[in-house]
Amino acid sequence: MMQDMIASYGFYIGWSFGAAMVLMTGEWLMADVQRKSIIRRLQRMARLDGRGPAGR
Amino acid sequence: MWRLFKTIVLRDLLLALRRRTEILMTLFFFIVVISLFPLGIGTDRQVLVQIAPGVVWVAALLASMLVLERLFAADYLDGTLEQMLLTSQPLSIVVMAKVCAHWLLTGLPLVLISPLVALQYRLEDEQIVSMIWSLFLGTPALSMIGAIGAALTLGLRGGGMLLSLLVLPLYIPVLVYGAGAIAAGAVTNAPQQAYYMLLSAFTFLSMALAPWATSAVLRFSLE
Amino acid sequence: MIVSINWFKYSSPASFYPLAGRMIPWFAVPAILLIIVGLYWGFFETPNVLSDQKQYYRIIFVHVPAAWMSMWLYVVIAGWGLIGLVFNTRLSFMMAAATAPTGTIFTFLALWTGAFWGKTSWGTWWDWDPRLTSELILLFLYIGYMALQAAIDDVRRADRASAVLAMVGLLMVPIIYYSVNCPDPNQCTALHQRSSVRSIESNIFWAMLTMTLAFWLYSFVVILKRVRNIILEREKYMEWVSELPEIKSQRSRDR
Repeated sequence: MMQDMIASYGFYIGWSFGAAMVLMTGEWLMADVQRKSIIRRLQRMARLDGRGPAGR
Repeated sequence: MWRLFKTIVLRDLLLALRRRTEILMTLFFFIVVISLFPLGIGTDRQVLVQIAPGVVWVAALLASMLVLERLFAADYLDGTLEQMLLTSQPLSIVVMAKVCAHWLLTGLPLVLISPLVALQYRLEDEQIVSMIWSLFLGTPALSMIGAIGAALTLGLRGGGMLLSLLVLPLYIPVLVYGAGAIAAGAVTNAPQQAYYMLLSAFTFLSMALAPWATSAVLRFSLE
Repeated sequence: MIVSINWFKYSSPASFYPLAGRMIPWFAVPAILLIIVGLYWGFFETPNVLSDQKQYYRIIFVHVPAAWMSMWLYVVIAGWGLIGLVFNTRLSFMMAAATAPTGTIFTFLALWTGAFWGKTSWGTWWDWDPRLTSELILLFLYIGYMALQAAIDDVRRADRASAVLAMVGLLMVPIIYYSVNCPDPNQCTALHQRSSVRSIESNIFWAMLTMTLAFWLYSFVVILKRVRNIILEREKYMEWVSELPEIKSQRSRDR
């Protein structure tokens, strides 16, 4: 049954389900990456804030 | 209120008459686009009658969209728009008047020139009449909906492209029924009354809602 | 006893930010579990044939939930925009902005999977079927929304302008849907929606619903994640942001 499915429609099902999973996982990870970069930027800002006389 | 409406319409018409080329440019754009299609697709009469409704309406959409940017731009740049916002008069009347003037300058000429382009596509007399009617009933809705887009993109870099992206999907109902009305006359010989009624319903709906939405957006944009 | 939640307390970004952080796992775990359950159910526990369609009908388990979510999320965006305009809350606009990319992805997925389904059952990648066309127009609306938001530099104006655009779009969607569904008004006095949900076998239907619920929970996760990013980005000069533990402690970067 599994073999039959893959043989006859694996291409279509794979491409559609695959695209869904890739896009959704990608979106999820993208949000995490974005968060990392924002936090790094804010940390740098906070560091400069504490040290320099120039303030923010 | 009526006086305010009339003053603004007359003012915009006068301003436009001082710079006639802009109106003529819209008109020629419309004609040129329509003339290109037979060159690309072929001049077979059967084909021309088939594509005429869609081509005329798509050209009308593009022509009216290209001039939208100028609906508020000049008044925005010289600060008149800000003054209009500050008056005690309702802003939606001002918007309504500006859009009406805009339609008189860009929509009405297309309606009037359409018999000429219909001849290029070898349409019969009654089909030409249905083309004039559908354009006459549908193009005001284009100006009305377009005004919202013009207000949204007021003063932005690359506003023109963005404007077309925002506005064109919203034009789809007008395109479907406008082209449908002409096609019903030219191709399938179906009664056209239902098309005209839907087109005018859509136009009235947009006249009721668009000035209000446009003035709300103008207030955000100039805040 | 009625538990009263002070909604206005959580309408401030500063108090919503940690709340969103705490909510994410509660949505993330069920979302992943339900996607696994739904896919397993859809692939192995449902009949191999749906009316005259064979194995490939299983695309339904991604296609229909994605299409439903794409439409629902557009309503959500317009709703947040309306709330934002009425109550003048910054957070509502941030939620609307965070929702748009997820909605776009679901719209794209619905079209993409629809193309593959169409290729198998109709023999063509694209057909001007009313539903496909409406979904394409919905994609245009989403893209226009995000483009407008990206084009305006002033955050306040961008928020309000795109909120109005979303509401105008929402108002137009039924009209557009009607017009593509029924281009000839002479033959279409009563619009009959040919939805096949009712006739579907209940087993398939429940698997589909599980996937929809999973996608819905997934949207919560990514939207909350994104709204947290947006909050940080927009409030970066606020006192409370620099007081956050993840920013204060340099050693343990993020959690």
